[in-house]
This record gives sequence, structure tokens and C-alpha cells, in this order.
Amino acid sequence: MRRAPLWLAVGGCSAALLVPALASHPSPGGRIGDDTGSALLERAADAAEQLDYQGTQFVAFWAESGSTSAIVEVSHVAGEGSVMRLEPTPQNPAGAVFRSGGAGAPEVVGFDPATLGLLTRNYETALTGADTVAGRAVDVVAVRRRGDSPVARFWLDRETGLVLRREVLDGDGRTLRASAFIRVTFGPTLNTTMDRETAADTPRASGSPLDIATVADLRDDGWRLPDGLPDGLELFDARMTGEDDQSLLHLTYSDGVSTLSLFQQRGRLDTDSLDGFRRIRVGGTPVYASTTFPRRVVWSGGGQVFTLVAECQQDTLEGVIDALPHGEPSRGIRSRLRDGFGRVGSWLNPF
Amino acid sequence: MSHLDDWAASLVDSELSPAERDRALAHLAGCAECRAAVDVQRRIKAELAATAGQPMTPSADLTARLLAIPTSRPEGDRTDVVPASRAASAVTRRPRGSRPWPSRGTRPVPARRSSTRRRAMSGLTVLGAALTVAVIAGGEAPGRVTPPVSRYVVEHTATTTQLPLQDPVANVVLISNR
Repeated sequence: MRRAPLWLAVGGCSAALLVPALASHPSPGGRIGDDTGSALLERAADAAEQLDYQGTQFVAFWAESGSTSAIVEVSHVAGEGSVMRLEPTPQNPAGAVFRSGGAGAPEVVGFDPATLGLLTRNYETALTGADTVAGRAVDVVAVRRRGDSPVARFWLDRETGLVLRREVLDGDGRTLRASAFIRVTFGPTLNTTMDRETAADTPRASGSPLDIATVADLRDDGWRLPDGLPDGLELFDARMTGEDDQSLLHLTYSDGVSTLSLFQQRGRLDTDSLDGFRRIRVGGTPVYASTTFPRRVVWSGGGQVFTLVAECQQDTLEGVIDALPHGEPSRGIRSRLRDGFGRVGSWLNPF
Repeated sequence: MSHLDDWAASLVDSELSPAERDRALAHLAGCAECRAAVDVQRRIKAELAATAGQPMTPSADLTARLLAIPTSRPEGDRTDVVPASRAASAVTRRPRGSRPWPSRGTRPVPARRSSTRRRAMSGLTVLGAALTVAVIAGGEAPGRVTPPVSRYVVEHTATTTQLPLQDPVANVVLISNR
């Protein structure tokens, strides 16, 4: 979906509700670096988990290839979790239903208590103004790296603390991701329809998180498991599925605002079967990238195929690509003899 | 003594004394068979040295076995081998004006020579087989992989607990306030 048709398709009534909400900006006035912003974000994380709330939310993503948007009905019950239903469309007539755990609806908040710690370590936060979202008074908190322009803004309900609107920005001030309530109510829900949703569409991560010992073993076997990546991205989830040549390693990184998944497989990239990707150079390195959201970049190096699924700024993405291996090692007779003697040696003495 | 036999490995490994080395080289000048044997020894040693110098080589045991093959013959079957001390003394005792070693009087009997060749061929066969196994075990280049990127995006949204609004859900939806 392209950006222009997006607003047309949303319709006049919804546009009247959404455009003012997404276009208005509070006047700056807060002090970057004080504790007020981080305290408000901590209150927001607690509110998302401990309050009962229901509402309709507009969610949108922007990418080089265009934009994507959705209307989501959200229902959260404290201590039980959230159900989010994407409304049906001609392209997706059945709609989709998702369920999340007790920490609140991530799409609503944008962070959880764990990633909030990363956010406050990597960014400065500050109360920058006041505004109105869905008819409710809100405080606006900006998040930025020291001396840089904001990378995210949060509109926090003054009464309850809940995040009613949020934006994630690129380095040039363009919006990458935005969500906003156009209707929200607090208290126990009267509509039990959402409670009966099966949430069959909820994505579930494959495999189980790896323990520290397994991570060390995988590193010894040549897998890449950096604890951190450029710009403060920290490893917070690592899991592996499959065995031997079918093994797939999935690492997830976050800095509190940006998220990035790094997938690794043994082998070399088969570029003939890549659909929707084009060959580009990042810092002189050839990779294959798609312009969709989230960003997807694929390449191979050192006998591994790397795939990045990233929701981060371009500079950060380039830094991550540069920090990982590129190019295939020589496979001459010496290389094969070396590997072969090593393998035969392991057969003779597996210990 | 008719051929270098075990001396070939010692010569390649620079384990001969100067006098022994001179004598062995003099023999090589006139014996194509021994030159070929020494050449094979040099190639094998070069490959093993290149392999042993790599960090991913746990095969010191195997390398030692391969290098030990020319010297692992039974003790009772060494009649055509000149010990280093005797060889040195033979050089020093060689009568002035006589032909350099090997002399006519020390030419081996045909049966012994045939046995030596069989042993040499056996050793080379074993070495060839070991190198072939190593090359095969070393494997081809890594297989070609097409990553299932769409599935990866779903995995990404699961671990980051975001709504999976990428394709095919990535379309505008109409508001329906039920």
C-alpha cells in the first residue's frame, strides 16, 4: 500500500479523527536529561500491565516502498493480557486476532519493563510538552541520543499514565512507525466478544531461549553471537531450531527503541531464489535488501547466511552489517585438506 | 645398499649427517627411482606442514602416523638399509679412485629389490588413500541456502512482541466500529 492511497482508504470520518492526532506537535519546553521523562515512561509500563482498558487504535508503518496501516481493536485485562483484533479488509477478509501476555499490549506501549531499561541506558528522555489524544490530556516525552534529534515520542495519558500515542522516527525526523488511540476507555470491559477470540494468529517464536553454556558452545562451533551490536543494541533473546545443516540461530537485539533480529544458517546465499530483494552496497559490501517494513537484508559470509530483520535507523543498520562477516573463505586443496584432516582427527579422537 | 629407502624420509627431514647427506645426494644423481621417492616425500611433508600450521587442525596424531609409515618396517627386514654410522664409515673408507656408492658389489638381489618396491608402493598407496579421504572429508563448499525471510519476520515480531503487520496482513484495513 502506498502512502497516498493509505489516507484515502482510511476514509473521511477516520481521517478527521486521525490526522489531527498525528499531525499536532506540542511545543518544546522540557529539559533533556532530567528524570521526569524516564519516570513517566516507567509509570506507562506499569499502567499498561495493571490497568483494564479497551479502545481502537490506528497503527502505521512507513518504508521506502510505501506504507502499511491497520485499525486494531485492543482489549486488555490486568493480570491476564491483551487481545488485539485487526479489522477485516478486502485483502484479508477474515481479519486477524493476536493475543499477548500479561505485560500489556506491546503495540500500545512500545516497550516492556526489560526494554525500558535499555531505553533509559541508551537514550536521554525528557518531558517536552502537553497535548490531547482521543480527547484526553497527555504529556509528551521525547527520546533522543545525546545531541541528536528525537528517535521516538510518547504521548502519555496524564490521568492513568498509559501510552495513548507514540512515534518512532528516523535520523532525519521522518516517521517510521506510529500508533495512536482514536478511542479509549478504562475499567472492566462490557464487551465479552474479545475475550472469546481464539487468537490463532498470534505469532510464536520457534525454539527455546538458549542458556549461557549453549551460547558458549555455539561460539566455539563458529556461530556468531555478539553480546552487542553498534549503537547500543544489546542481545536480549537467543534461540536455535533444527539440527546440523538445518540449524537456524535467531538472535534478537534492542536498544529500547530499535529492534533487530539476526538469523544465521550454515551455507552460502542462493541469490537466484530471492524474490523482492535487490543488490545494493552498504559501506562497500554487497548485500541483498528489500525496501519493505521491517527492513530485510540478506548476505553470506564465512560459511554462514545472515538475514537481518530490522526496525532501526539506516546508520545503525549499516553499522550492524559492517560488524558481521562478509565473503566466502577460499576452498582450495589446502583448505579442504585442513578441514578434512581436522574432521578425520575428530573421528579418531572425538574428545 | 641399492636404494635410499628409509633414508629418503630422513633426507627430506634433514635428519642425516653431512656425510650421509652427501652420500645420499650422490646416489640420487644416478637413481631416478629414488629421486621420485624423495620427491613424493617432499610433497607430502609440504602438505602436512601447511595443514599442521592451521589452527583448526586436531590431527597431529594422524599426521604423526602418516609420517611414521616409511619407518615402521619390521626390524628383521632392514638388511638393505645402511645405518647412519656404518654409512658414514663406508664413505670415509671408500678406496681412492673407486666408484661412488652404490658399488657393483652391493647391487641388491632382484627379490629384495622387488620387496622394497612393494613396500614403497604400499606406503604410497596408504598415503594416497589418506589424502583422498582427507580431501573428501574436507567437503565441498557450503550448500546454497535461500532463507525463508517471511517466516523470519514472523519470528521477529514474536520475539519483539509486536503486531505482525508485514505481508500479507500489510494492507490498509477499513475502520469498523462494531
